[in-house]
Amino acid sequence: MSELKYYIKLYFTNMSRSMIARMEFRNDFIIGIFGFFIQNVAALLSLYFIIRNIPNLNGWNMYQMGFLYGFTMMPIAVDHLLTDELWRLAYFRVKRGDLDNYFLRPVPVLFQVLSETFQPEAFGELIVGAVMLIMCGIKCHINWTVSKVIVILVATFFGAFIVTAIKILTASPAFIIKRSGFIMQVFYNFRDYTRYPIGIYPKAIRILLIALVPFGLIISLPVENVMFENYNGLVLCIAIIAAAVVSMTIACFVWTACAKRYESTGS
Amino acid sequence: MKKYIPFFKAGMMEEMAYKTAIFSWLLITILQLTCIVFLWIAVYANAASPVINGFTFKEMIVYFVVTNIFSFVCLESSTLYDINTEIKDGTIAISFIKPISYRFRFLFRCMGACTCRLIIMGLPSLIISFSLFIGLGYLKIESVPVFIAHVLLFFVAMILAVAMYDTIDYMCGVLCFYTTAAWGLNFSKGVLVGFFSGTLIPLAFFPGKFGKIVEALPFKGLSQNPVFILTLRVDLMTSVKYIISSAIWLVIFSILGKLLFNHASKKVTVQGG
Repeated sequence: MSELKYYIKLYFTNMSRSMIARMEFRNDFIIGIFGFFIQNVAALLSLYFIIRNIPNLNGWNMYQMGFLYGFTMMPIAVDHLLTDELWRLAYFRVKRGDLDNYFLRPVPVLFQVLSETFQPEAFGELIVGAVMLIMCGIKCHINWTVSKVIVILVATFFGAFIVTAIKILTASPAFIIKRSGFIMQVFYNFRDYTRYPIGIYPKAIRILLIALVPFGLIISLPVENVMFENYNGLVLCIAIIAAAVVSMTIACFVWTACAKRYESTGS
Repeated sequence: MKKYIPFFKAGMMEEMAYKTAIFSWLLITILQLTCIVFLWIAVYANAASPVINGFTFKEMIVYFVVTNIFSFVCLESSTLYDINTEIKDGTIAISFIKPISYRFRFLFRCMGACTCRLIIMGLPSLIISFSLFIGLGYLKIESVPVFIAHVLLFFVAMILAVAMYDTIDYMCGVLCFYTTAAWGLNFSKGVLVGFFSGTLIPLAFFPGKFGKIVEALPFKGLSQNPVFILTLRVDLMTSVKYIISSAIWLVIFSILGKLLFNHASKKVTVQGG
């Protein structure tokens, strides 16, 4: 128990260091939030400009699409807030060989990497997402039940775990091939698929999105459940939690195996 | 002119070094286009008429494929980051006393990089997609000479678009004299340019007054106009008009960039130079 306490304390110490370092460049931080904010506004406007030409998209009206879009941001923003160091690691840190200090400390490397950066830019996404969920949620006249709320909360938090697991899995090859940022990018981009109702895709892509790159499982299905009540909430929750546990276990295992291959640069 | 050729070559060579980036772009774009195709299939299936804002389904697919290739080749420049690096490590002080133009040096490097991307990825993917479009009946070419004229005009429009994009990048780079937020500036610039140049959706989808304002802005010359010229959506006369308007805007932006630089260069604080 004291060990857990130690790690929690260490985590928050690292996080506050990261925050202090970020605040030194306050303009970067503000312009960064602005960037994420307008990115989402641009994507939402584009979606709106498309949807306004048709009565509905396979039974989804504009507000339901807006709710779906808002929800795609939630698990991803949580992940974004906490684990962005993985991008840097996959793109250039392994290549530069500047991870040596992590390997010398008596704390797991993955823990140190994840606690390295706190990315307040993600608040930009969280805010846009939350505004969309509330505004569109009201317009959709959703028949809220306890089970739906639980599914949404489970999908947000365990969904974030799944996103992180995907990032860890795709960052791990960097230890062997030096750069794996593009692999991460390819998998991460599958989240764009979930901005539209999963029903518009053929069966093969739907299976891919639910079983292999489970953005569909954590985003599309919970939102469908909120709108159309076509799934059993309990089953959905169990599936998401099971997927989170399994994918995180595999990710940690692969990471540990790959990290052994790390070598620092000679220079 | 001659003294800038080495920078052009350096730009090409540097781009060659990032081959994995080029091929990962291909994979990411194919995934993205797959998503877009299914979205538009669903949109057109739900639409009351087969034409939405002047686009049929086939025209829409042609537009998105060509736009994706075009923006990969042309809408990328390292100028902003290069200026930022020079400010950070102090080499900008030397750049001020060199007998070459600061602006043209970056422009030629950017042109070199674009040429490299065009040869390695742009032309092959354009040729493959155009063969597919013509074969599948997505694009009709009635007269070959007219098409060749369009292709030639497209290249002129493309060069103007690259120069324009690099000028915008340069202006944002000069803003790094005032702030250190290079990443955020670059990201915001990419989003705004992408949105207003029609890479997310054609500008015809922008409604009402907002649409009219966006149409009047110079950004459509960065992507939508060249793509329209190449995909034969506009006739030759309109193509020439597009090119003239792009050229005028390029001159205006260059002057603005120059003024901004003159103001900023008095402010420069070199970090650790």
